[in-house]
Amino acid sequence: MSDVTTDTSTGDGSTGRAPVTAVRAGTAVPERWKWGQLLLLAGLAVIVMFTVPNPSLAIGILIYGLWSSGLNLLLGYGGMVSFGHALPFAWGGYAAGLMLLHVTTSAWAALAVATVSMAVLSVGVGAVCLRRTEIYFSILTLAFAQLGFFIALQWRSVTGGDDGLAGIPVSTLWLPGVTLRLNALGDPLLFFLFTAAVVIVVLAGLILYTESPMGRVLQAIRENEERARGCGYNTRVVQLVTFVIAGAVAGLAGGLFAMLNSFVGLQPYWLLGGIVLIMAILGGRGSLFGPFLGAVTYLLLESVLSRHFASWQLIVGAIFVICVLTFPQGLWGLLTSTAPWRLLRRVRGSR
Amino acid sequence: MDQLISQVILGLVSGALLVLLALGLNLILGLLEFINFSHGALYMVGAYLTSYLIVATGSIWWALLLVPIIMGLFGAGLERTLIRPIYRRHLVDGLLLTFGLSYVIIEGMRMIAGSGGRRVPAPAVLDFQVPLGVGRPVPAYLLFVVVVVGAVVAGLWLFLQRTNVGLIVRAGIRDHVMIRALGVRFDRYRTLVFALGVAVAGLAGVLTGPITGVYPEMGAEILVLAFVVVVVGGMGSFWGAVLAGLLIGVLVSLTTLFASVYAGIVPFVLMILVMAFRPRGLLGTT
Repeated sequence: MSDVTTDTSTGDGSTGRAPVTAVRAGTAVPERWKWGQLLLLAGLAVIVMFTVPNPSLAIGILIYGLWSSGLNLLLGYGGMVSFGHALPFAWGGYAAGLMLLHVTTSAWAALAVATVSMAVLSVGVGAVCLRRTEIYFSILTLAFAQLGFFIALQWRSVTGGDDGLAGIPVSTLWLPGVTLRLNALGDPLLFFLFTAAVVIVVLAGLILYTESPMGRVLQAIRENEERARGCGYNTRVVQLVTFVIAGAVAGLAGGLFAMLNSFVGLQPYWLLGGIVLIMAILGGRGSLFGPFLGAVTYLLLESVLSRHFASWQLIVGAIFVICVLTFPQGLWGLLTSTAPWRLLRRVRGSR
Repeated sequence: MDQLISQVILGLVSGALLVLLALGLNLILGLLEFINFSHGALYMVGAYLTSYLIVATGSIWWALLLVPIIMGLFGAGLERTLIRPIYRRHLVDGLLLTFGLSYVIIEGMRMIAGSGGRRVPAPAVLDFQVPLGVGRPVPAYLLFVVVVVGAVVAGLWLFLQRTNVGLIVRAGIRDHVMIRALGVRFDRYRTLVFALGVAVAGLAGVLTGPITGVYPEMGAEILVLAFVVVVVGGMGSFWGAVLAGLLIGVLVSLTTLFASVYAGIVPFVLMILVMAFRPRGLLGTT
């Protein structure tokens, strides 16, 4: 597939919008690099592991990247802006935390519950959020996140309210033949490797989904929903499935985050809904790997800037605004449009 | 019973402020085709301007006059410089851009004014209680807020229905390609409507100051509620926003009285019910 040609007819004259050129499937990732993203991610993980001195930050980068990459499935591939992606992340955190505290210390069980329960919840939330257009979707996701925040704040007997869930025990990881303890403080390397393995497997799954027939339809809906519906696709179902997948991925990330910190609380979870969006956009919404770049950039900016400048978020916000205005494909888009990448694409194209 | 009535009045006041924000959001949404995520941040700026103007001039009356004008000009400037370039792009970009703007505005305000809040005194002239006959006496300032909001709502309605500019705005909401084809300089109306929406948000900020004080996060909190009002009332519906704003204000206020734990949740439950049973909103037409 060469670069996607720009659709010059808007199809629906009444909206009067220019043809959608902001997010195009072919622009960000050269076709043969779809699977190369896994290699890039593995490479990034190795670099992060050896260069970031703070192990908890290094693991955090992978978790945020995973969360943000799932969001990008909605944002970049589906054209649906969710402002409430804190909800699945927090749900996953609370679910995993409660499992580890009260039921079992098995890491698999905690993560499975975090992921599956969030997927089930996403079906309900998604059904409401997707009843109307994109703008409704953005508002409703934000409202659901706010609703979740109030519930987490008020339902003290379960969530601990303001104090959160502290003292989540170290989880146990059963693998064939060995039993390991996932202690983020005592053995950060093992925790990092486990997280990296999970993240790479999930990213492979996400790539498979975007390449599947349903994933293709999703991108068609982003370009022109009317036309996709006209082709006979049930667009709402495709969007709902995507919403559930993105929710499940965020739930998994939230579960990992709870295991990393041994703590689930209001502060770190609910305030991050906007930050994950910034990561996804900054990194690049045209790909699944881009958000990992965004996570690295954001977290490193934070750790450097916050040391010197109290209002560091002002700088990050300004960078975000400039990004949306001038390079909407994000860092990944910038990178892949540089000369070596174009050359690579041409060489591969002519083969 | 007395308490019930006072609580309803308090609800109407907070609902009236929501109405102002929701009407601005609705107008901008109709004509510019994106949800202005920076609306709450601009409302917060209006409230802070008020607190500084009161220090400078010693009265809230100047703020009531000047803040909407300053915020309107600021809004026009924003529209001309930052927002205009994204009309030709996917509507997602409008959401993202204003989301980023709100981030910058809130952090900027925090840098200038600090994270702590500021108190705003109510005007001394209105510092008395009005007996209503039923219920407890009500602070005159709250009644003043309701009257101002009522006047603004009526003014906006007359502007949209009775003036030539309002006619073009309404036509533009329906079909701006046609309006352009008829030779109207449509860009100017976009600027005007954005400025108008921001001015009304600023006015809401002026009115809120003496009730809750001002703090950097005030806009983010109320913005989510204003969104809920827009959805419940019906997107693009003028009277829907008015009805839903007052309804949510009163419901929240009454829940605070009877079961305060649930007060924060009520608007969202209402919203989910409306989306489930009447997705076009209470008074929405499409």
